[in-house]
Amino acid sequence: MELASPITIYWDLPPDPQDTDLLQRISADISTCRPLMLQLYSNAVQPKGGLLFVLKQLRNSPIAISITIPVTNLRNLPDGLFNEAGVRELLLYTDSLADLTEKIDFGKTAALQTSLGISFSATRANWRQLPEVVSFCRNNGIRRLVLPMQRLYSNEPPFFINRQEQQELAAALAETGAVESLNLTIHDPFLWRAFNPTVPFPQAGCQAANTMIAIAPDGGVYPCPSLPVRLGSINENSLNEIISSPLKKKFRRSLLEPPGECRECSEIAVCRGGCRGRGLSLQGTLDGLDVACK
Amino acid sequence: MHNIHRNPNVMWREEVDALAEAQAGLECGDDIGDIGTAVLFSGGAMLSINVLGAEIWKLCDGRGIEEIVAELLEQFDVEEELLRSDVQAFLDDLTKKGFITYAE
Repeated sequence: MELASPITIYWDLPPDPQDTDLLQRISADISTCRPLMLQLYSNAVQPKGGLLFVLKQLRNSPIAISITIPVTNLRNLPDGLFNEAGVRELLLYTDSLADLTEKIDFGKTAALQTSLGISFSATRANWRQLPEVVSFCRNNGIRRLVLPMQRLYSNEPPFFINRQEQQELAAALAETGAVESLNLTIHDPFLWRAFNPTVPFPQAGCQAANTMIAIAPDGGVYPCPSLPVRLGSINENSLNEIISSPLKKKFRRSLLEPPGECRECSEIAVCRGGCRGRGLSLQGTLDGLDVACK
Repeated sequence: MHNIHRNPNVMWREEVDALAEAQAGLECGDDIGDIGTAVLFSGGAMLSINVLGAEIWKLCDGRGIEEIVAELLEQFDVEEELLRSDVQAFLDDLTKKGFITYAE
Protein backbone atom coordinates (compact mmCIF):
# COMPACT_ATOMS: atom_id res chain seq x y z
CA MET A 1 0.00 0.00 0.00
CA GLU A 2 1.24 3.47 -0.85
CA LEU A 3 0.86 5.86 2.07
CA ALA A 4 0.37 9.62 2.10
CA SER A 5 2.67 9.92 5.10
CA PRO A 6 5.17 7.54 6.67
CA ILE A 7 4.53 5.09 9.48
CA THR A 8 8.10 5.31 10.70
CA ILE A 9 10.33 8.37 10.91
CA TYR A 10 14.04 8.00 11.55
CA TRP A 11 15.58 11.06 13.12
CA ASP A 12 19.29 11.13 13.81
CA LEU A 13 19.75 14.03 16.20
CA PRO A 14 22.64 16.45 15.74
CA PRO A 15 25.48 15.57 18.15
CA ASP A 16 25.50 18.97 19.83
CA PRO A 17 22.26 20.78 18.98
CA GLN A 18 22.33 24.49 19.71
CA ASP A 19 19.14 25.46 17.91
CA THR A 20 16.30 24.27 20.11
CA ASP A 21 13.83 26.22 17.98
CA LEU A 22 14.68 23.91 15.10
CA LEU A 23 14.31 20.80 17.28
CA GLN A 24 10.96 22.13 18.46
CA ARG A 25 9.81 22.74 14.89
CA ILE A 26 10.91 19.31 13.70
CA SER A 27 9.16 17.69 16.67
CA ALA A 28 5.95 19.57 15.79
CA ASP A 29 6.34 18.58 12.13
CA ILE A 30 6.72 14.95 13.11
CA SER A 31 3.55 15.07 15.21
CA THR A 32 1.67 16.58 12.28
CA CYS A 33 2.72 13.67 10.05
CA ARG A 34 1.12 11.18 12.51
CA PRO A 35 3.71 8.44 12.23
CA LEU A 36 3.21 5.36 14.36
CA MET A 37 6.86 5.20 15.32
CA LEU A 38 9.76 7.56 15.77
CA GLN A 39 13.24 6.07 15.75
CA LEU A 40 15.44 8.59 17.52
CA TYR A 41 19.19 8.21 17.41
CA SER A 42 21.39 10.33 19.67
CA ASN A 43 25.12 9.95 20.00
CA ALA A 44 25.48 12.95 22.31
CA VAL A 45 27.49 12.03 25.38
CA GLN A 46 25.18 14.18 27.50
CA PRO A 47 21.54 13.79 26.41
CA LYS A 48 20.31 17.01 28.01
CA GLY A 49 20.53 19.29 24.98
CA GLY A 50 18.90 17.26 22.24
CA LEU A 51 17.34 14.00 23.30
CA LEU A 52 15.66 15.21 26.47
CA PHE A 53 14.42 18.35 24.76
CA VAL A 54 12.83 16.33 21.96
CA LEU A 55 11.26 13.88 24.40
CA LYS A 56 9.68 16.78 26.23
CA GLN A 57 8.27 18.13 22.97
CA LEU A 58 6.70 14.78 22.18
CA ARG A 59 5.54 14.00 25.70
CA ASN A 60 1.83 14.08 24.89
CA SER A 61 2.12 12.54 21.47
CA PRO A 62 0.73 9.04 20.75
CA ILE A 63 3.84 8.19 18.72
CA ALA A 64 5.76 5.14 19.92
CA ILE A 65 9.34 6.27 20.41
CA SER A 66 12.36 4.04 20.13
CA ILE A 67 15.63 5.55 21.30
CA THR A 68 19.04 4.37 20.22
CA ILE A 69 22.20 5.54 21.98
CA PRO A 70 25.75 4.22 21.88
CA VAL A 71 26.18 1.63 24.61
CA THR A 72 29.12 3.66 25.90
CA ASN A 73 26.77 6.58 26.68
CA LEU A 74 24.44 4.52 28.85
CA ARG A 75 26.08 5.71 32.04
CA ASN A 76 25.14 9.33 31.27
CA LEU A 77 21.38 8.78 31.17
CA PRO A 78 19.49 9.99 34.25
CA ASP A 79 17.56 7.25 36.11
CA GLY A 80 13.86 7.18 35.31
CA LEU A 81 14.53 9.21 32.18
CA PHE A 82 11.83 7.62 30.10
CA ASN A 83 8.98 7.54 32.58
CA GLU A 84 7.13 10.56 31.25
CA ALA A 85 7.55 10.24 27.51
CA GLY A 86 6.05 7.64 25.19
CA VAL A 87 9.31 5.76 24.99
CA ARG A 88 8.70 2.20 23.98
CA GLU A 89 12.27 0.96 24.09
CA LEU A 90 15.90 1.86 24.53
CA LEU A 91 18.33 0.30 22.11
CA LEU A 92 22.01 0.20 22.95
CA TYR A 93 24.06 0.65 19.82
CA THR A 94 27.44 -0.87 19.15
CA ASP A 95 29.43 -2.70 16.51
CA SER A 96 31.57 -4.43 19.11
CA LEU A 97 30.79 -7.66 20.90
CA ALA A 98 33.29 -6.64 23.57
CA ASP A 99 31.20 -3.50 24.25
CA LEU A 100 28.18 -5.69 24.90
CA THR A 101 29.94 -8.04 27.26
CA GLU A 102 31.94 -5.39 29.11
CA LYS A 103 30.03 -2.11 29.08
CA ILE A 104 26.37 -2.83 29.75
CA ASP A 105 25.49 -1.98 33.32
CA PHE A 106 22.31 -3.97 33.90
CA GLY A 107 21.72 -2.16 37.18
CA LYS A 108 21.65 1.06 35.22
CA THR A 109 19.30 -0.29 32.57
CA ALA A 110 16.89 -1.48 35.27
CA ALA A 111 16.89 2.00 36.80
CA LEU A 112 15.89 3.51 33.47
CA GLN A 113 12.64 1.53 33.63
CA THR A 114 12.23 0.93 29.94
CA SER A 115 12.37 -2.03 27.65
CA LEU A 116 15.96 -2.73 26.64
CA GLY A 117 17.31 -3.98 23.34
CA ILE A 118 20.54 -4.20 21.40
CA SER A 119 21.20 -2.41 18.13
CA PHE A 120 24.18 -4.21 16.64
CA SER A 121 25.67 -2.65 13.54
CA ALA A 122 26.88 -5.50 11.34
CA THR A 123 30.04 -4.81 9.37
CA ARG A 124 32.55 -6.74 7.27
CA ALA A 125 34.71 -6.98 10.37
CA ASN A 126 32.12 -8.32 12.81
CA TRP A 127 29.35 -10.18 10.99
CA ARG A 128 30.71 -13.55 12.05
CA GLN A 129 30.08 -12.46 15.66
CA LEU A 130 26.32 -12.26 15.07
CA PRO A 131 25.65 -15.74 16.53
CA GLU A 132 27.54 -14.67 19.68
CA VAL A 133 25.45 -11.50 19.82
CA VAL A 134 22.32 -13.65 19.68
CA SER A 135 23.71 -15.84 22.47
CA PHE A 136 24.56 -12.76 24.52
CA CYS A 137 21.00 -11.48 24.21
CA ARG A 138 19.51 -14.83 25.11
CA ASN A 139 21.82 -15.38 28.07
CA ASN A 140 21.10 -11.93 29.48
CA GLY A 141 17.34 -11.93 29.10
CA ILE A 142 17.40 -9.38 26.26
CA ARG A 143 14.60 -10.20 23.86
CA ARG A 144 15.05 -7.36 21.37
CA LEU A 145 17.76 -7.30 18.73
CA VAL A 146 17.97 -4.82 15.88
CA LEU A 147 20.42 -4.84 13.00
CA PRO A 148 20.11 -1.13 12.24
CA MET A 149 19.85 0.44 8.85
CA GLN A 150 23.12 1.66 7.49
CA ARG A 151 23.42 5.42 7.26
CA LEU A 152 24.35 5.46 3.60
CA TYR A 153 23.24 9.11 3.41
CA SER A 154 26.35 9.96 5.38
CA ASN A 155 28.61 8.02 3.04
CA GLU A 156 28.97 5.04 5.35
CA PRO A 157 30.40 2.29 3.13
CA PRO A 158 27.67 -0.21 2.19
CA PHE A 159 27.96 -3.49 4.02
CA PHE A 160 26.75 -6.82 2.67
CA ILE A 161 27.62 -10.47 2.83
CA ASN A 162 27.42 -12.60 -0.27
CA ARG A 163 25.28 -15.68 -0.75
CA GLN A 164 27.96 -18.09 0.42
CA GLU A 165 28.56 -16.02 3.54
CA GLN A 166 24.82 -15.85 4.17
CA GLN A 167 24.71 -19.64 4.18
CA GLU A 168 27.68 -19.72 6.56
CA LEU A 169 25.89 -17.30 8.88
CA ALA A 170 22.62 -19.26 8.71
CA ALA A 171 24.47 -22.46 9.66
CA ALA A 172 26.28 -20.73 12.53
CA LEU A 173 23.04 -19.24 13.83
CA ALA A 174 21.32 -22.63 13.64
CA GLU A 175 24.18 -24.15 15.63
CA THR A 176 23.95 -21.41 18.26
CA GLY A 177 20.30 -22.08 18.84
CA ALA A 178 16.98 -20.73 17.80
CA VAL A 179 16.40 -17.02 17.29
CA GLU A 180 12.62 -17.42 17.72
CA SER A 181 12.81 -16.13 21.28
CA LEU A 182 14.12 -12.79 20.00
CA ASN A 183 12.10 -9.89 18.67
CA LEU A 184 14.26 -9.18 15.63
CA THR A 185 14.30 -6.19 13.34
CA ILE A 186 16.37 -6.80 10.23
CA HIS A 187 15.94 -4.52 7.23
CA ASP A 188 18.30 -6.39 4.92
CA PRO A 189 16.33 -9.19 3.23
CA PHE A 190 19.42 -11.33 2.79
CA LEU A 191 20.46 -11.09 6.44
CA TRP A 192 16.82 -11.72 7.32
CA ARG A 193 16.96 -14.99 5.39
CA ALA A 194 20.09 -16.06 7.26
CA PHE A 195 18.33 -15.45 10.57
CA ASN A 196 14.92 -16.75 9.49
CA PRO A 197 15.39 -19.33 6.71
CA THR A 198 11.75 -20.43 6.88
CA VAL A 199 10.05 -17.09 7.50
CA PRO A 200 9.41 -14.82 4.50
CA PHE A 201 10.83 -11.30 4.66
CA PRO A 202 7.94 -9.27 6.16
CA GLN A 203 8.37 -6.13 4.06
CA ALA A 204 6.71 -6.02 0.66
CA GLY A 205 9.63 -4.52 -1.23
CA CYS A 206 11.59 -1.35 -0.59
CA GLN A 207 9.58 0.95 1.68
CA ALA A 208 11.78 4.03 1.28
CA ALA A 209 9.71 7.20 0.99
CA ASN A 210 6.56 5.21 1.67
CA THR A 211 6.27 3.72 5.13
CA MET A 212 9.49 5.46 6.18
CA ILE A 213 11.36 8.71 5.91
CA ALA A 214 14.65 9.78 7.48
CA ILE A 215 15.93 13.07 8.88
CA ALA A 216 19.70 13.44 9.01
CA PRO A 217 21.54 15.42 11.70
CA ASP A 218 21.98 18.33 9.26
CA GLY A 219 18.23 18.48 8.57
CA GLY A 220 18.42 16.67 5.25
CA VAL A 221 15.40 14.50 4.51
CA TYR A 222 15.94 11.13 2.84
CA PRO A 223 13.63 8.33 1.71
CA CYS A 224 15.41 5.94 4.08
CA PRO A 225 18.65 6.09 6.08
CA SER A 226 20.12 3.69 3.53
CA LEU A 227 19.04 5.59 0.43
CA PRO A 228 21.33 8.55 -0.23
CA VAL A 229 18.93 10.66 -2.27
CA ARG A 230 18.18 14.00 -0.65
CA LEU A 231 14.50 14.90 -0.92
CA GLY A 232 14.83 18.27 0.78
CA SER A 233 15.91 19.94 3.97
CA ILE A 234 13.97 20.64 7.11
CA ASN A 235 15.85 23.95 7.23
CA GLU A 236 14.04 25.08 4.09
CA ASN A 237 10.67 23.32 4.11
CA SER A 238 8.44 21.61 6.64
CA LEU A 239 8.57 17.84 6.83
CA ASN A 240 5.00 17.69 5.60
CA GLU A 241 5.86 19.83 2.56
CA ILE A 242 8.75 17.54 1.69
CA ILE A 243 6.67 14.39 2.17
CA SER A 244 3.87 15.69 -0.04
CA SER A 245 6.21 17.21 -2.64
CA PRO A 246 6.18 16.14 -6.31
CA LEU A 247 9.88 15.26 -5.97
CA LYS A 248 9.21 12.78 -3.20
CA LYS A 249 6.22 11.28 -5.01
CA LYS A 250 8.16 10.93 -8.25
CA PHE A 251 11.04 9.33 -6.41
CA ARG A 252 8.70 6.88 -4.67
CA ARG A 253 7.22 5.88 -8.03
CA SER A 254 10.72 5.06 -9.26
CA LEU A 255 11.01 2.41 -6.53
CA LEU A 256 7.77 0.61 -7.25
CA GLU A 257 9.34 -1.66 -9.85
CA PRO A 258 12.31 -3.82 -8.79
CA PRO A 259 15.62 -3.42 -10.63
CA GLY A 260 15.47 -4.69 -14.20
CA GLU A 261 17.81 -7.60 -13.54
CA CYS A 262 15.48 -8.86 -10.78
CA ARG A 263 12.28 -8.99 -12.78
CA GLU A 264 12.84 -12.46 -14.26
CA CYS A 265 14.51 -13.83 -11.12
CA SER A 266 12.78 -16.72 -9.36
CA GLU A 267 13.78 -15.34 -5.94
CA ILE A 268 12.09 -11.97 -6.31
CA ALA A 269 9.33 -13.09 -3.93
CA VAL A 270 11.97 -13.69 -1.26
CA CYS A 271 14.24 -10.66 -1.53
CA ARG A 272 11.68 -8.25 -3.06
CA GLY A 273 14.40 -6.61 -5.09
CA GLY A 274 16.84 -6.26 -2.19
CA CYS A 275 18.09 -2.97 -0.75
CA ARG A 276 17.70 -0.23 -3.34
CA GLY A 277 20.00 2.10 -1.43
CA ARG A 278 22.81 -0.43 -1.49
CA GLY A 279 22.16 -1.02 -5.17
CA LEU A 280 22.36 2.71 -5.82
CA SER A 281 25.46 3.18 -3.68
CA LEU A 282 27.40 0.35 -5.28
CA GLN A 283 26.06 0.43 -8.85
CA GLY A 284 25.43 4.14 -9.25
CA THR A 285 21.84 3.70 -10.40
CA LEU A 286 18.48 3.01 -8.75
CA ASP A 287 18.07 0.22 -11.27
CA GLY A 288 21.23 -1.33 -9.85
CA LEU A 289 21.13 -4.89 -8.58
CA ASP A 290 21.68 -5.36 -4.85
CA VAL A 291 24.98 -7.25 -4.97
CA ALA A 292 24.11 -9.14 -1.77
CA CYS A 293 22.07 -11.54 -3.88
CA LYS A 294 25.14 -12.87 -5.67
CA MET B 1 -18.51 -16.20 24.88
CA HIS B 2 -15.11 -15.27 23.44
CA ASN B 3 -14.05 -11.68 23.79
CA ILE B 4 -11.85 -10.32 21.05
CA HIS B 5 -8.95 -8.04 21.85
CA ARG B 6 -6.51 -6.13 19.66
CA ASN B 7 -2.91 -7.13 20.24
CA PRO B 8 -1.51 -4.06 22.03
CA ASN B 9 1.77 -4.46 20.14
CA VAL B 10 0.02 -3.78 16.85
CA MET B 11 0.25 -0.11 15.89
CA TRP B 12 -2.42 1.28 13.64
CA ARG B 13 -3.55 4.44 11.96
CA GLU B 14 -6.48 5.56 9.87
CA GLU B 15 -5.40 7.11 6.58
CA VAL B 16 -7.18 10.45 6.41
CA ASP B 17 -6.95 10.96 2.64
CA ALA B 18 -8.00 7.41 1.84
CA LEU B 19 -10.86 7.61 4.32
CA ALA B 20 -12.15 10.78 2.65
CA GLU B 21 -11.89 9.07 -0.75
CA ALA B 22 -13.81 6.05 0.56
CA GLN B 23 -16.52 8.22 2.12
CA ALA B 24 -16.93 10.13 -1.13
CA GLY B 25 -17.14 6.83 -2.99
CA LEU B 26 -19.75 5.51 -0.57
CA GLU B 27 -21.92 8.56 -1.18
CA CYS B 28 -21.73 7.90 -4.93
CA GLY B 29 -22.52 4.22 -4.48
CA ASP B 30 -19.08 3.12 -5.69
CA ASP B 31 -17.40 -0.11 -4.67
CA ILE B 32 -14.86 1.03 -2.08
CA GLY B 33 -13.75 -2.41 -0.96
CA ASP B 34 -10.30 -1.96 -2.46
CA ILE B 35 -9.55 1.36 -0.77
CA GLY B 36 -7.26 0.87 2.20
CA THR B 37 -8.41 3.30 4.87
CA ALA B 38 -6.28 2.07 7.77
CA VAL B 39 -2.94 0.38 8.24
CA LEU B 40 -1.97 -2.09 10.91
CA PHE B 41 1.72 -2.50 11.58
CA SER B 42 3.55 -5.09 13.61
CA GLY B 43 6.98 -6.66 13.43
CA GLY B 44 7.83 -5.05 10.12
CA ALA B 45 4.65 -6.35 8.49
CA MET B 46 1.99 -3.91 7.33
CA LEU B 47 -1.62 -4.78 6.66
CA SER B 48 -3.89 -2.42 4.78
CA ILE B 49 -7.58 -2.73 5.60
CA ASN B 50 -10.68 -1.21 4.04
CA VAL B 51 -13.52 0.68 5.68
CA LEU B 52 -15.30 -2.43 6.90
CA GLY B 53 -12.04 -3.95 8.13
CA ALA B 54 -11.17 -0.77 9.98
CA GLU B 55 -14.57 -0.68 11.69
CA ILE B 56 -14.22 -4.33 12.72
CA TRP B 57 -10.69 -3.63 13.99
CA LYS B 58 -11.89 -0.72 16.10
CA LEU B 59 -14.58 -2.91 17.64
CA CYS B 60 -12.06 -5.55 18.77
CA ASP B 61 -12.03 -4.04 22.24
CA GLY B 62 -13.27 -6.99 24.24
CA ARG B 63 -16.56 -7.52 22.43
CA GLY B 64 -17.67 -10.87 21.04
CA ILE B 65 -18.37 -11.46 17.35
CA GLU B 66 -22.14 -11.12 17.81
CA GLU B 67 -21.70 -7.71 19.39
CA ILE B 68 -19.41 -6.66 16.56
CA VAL B 69 -21.88 -7.83 13.93
CA ALA B 70 -24.77 -6.07 15.69
CA GLU B 71 -22.80 -2.84 15.83
CA LEU B 72 -21.84 -3.05 12.15
CA LEU B 73 -25.42 -3.76 11.08
CA GLU B 74 -26.27 -0.30 12.33
CA GLN B 75 -23.53 1.22 10.16
CA PHE B 76 -23.69 -0.81 6.94
CA ASP B 77 -26.63 -1.74 4.76
CA VAL B 78 -25.78 -5.42 4.34
CA GLU B 79 -27.39 -8.83 4.85
CA GLU B 80 -26.66 -10.12 8.36
CA GLU B 81 -25.48 -13.60 7.39
CA LEU B 82 -23.15 -12.22 4.72
CA LEU B 83 -21.77 -9.68 7.18
CA ARG B 84 -21.24 -12.34 9.86
CA SER B 85 -19.36 -14.48 7.36
CA ASP B 86 -17.16 -11.54 6.26
CA VAL B 87 -16.45 -10.55 9.86
CA GLN B 88 -15.52 -14.12 10.80
CA ALA B 89 -13.19 -14.43 7.81
CA PHE B 90 -11.52 -11.14 8.65
CA LEU B 91 -11.10 -12.06 12.32
CA ASP B 92 -9.66 -15.44 11.33
CA ASP B 93 -7.07 -13.65 9.20
CA LEU B 94 -6.19 -11.25 12.03
CA THR B 95 -5.87 -14.18 14.42
CA LYS B 96 -3.53 -15.99 12.04
CA LYS B 97 -1.36 -12.88 11.85
CA GLY B 98 -1.35 -12.50 15.64
CA PHE B 99 -3.10 -9.12 15.47
CA ILE B 100 -5.98 -10.13 17.76
CA THR B 101 -6.50 -12.57 20.60
CA TYR B 102 -9.54 -14.27 22.07
CA ALA B 103 -10.22 -14.44 25.79
CA GLU B 104 -12.93 -16.23 27.77
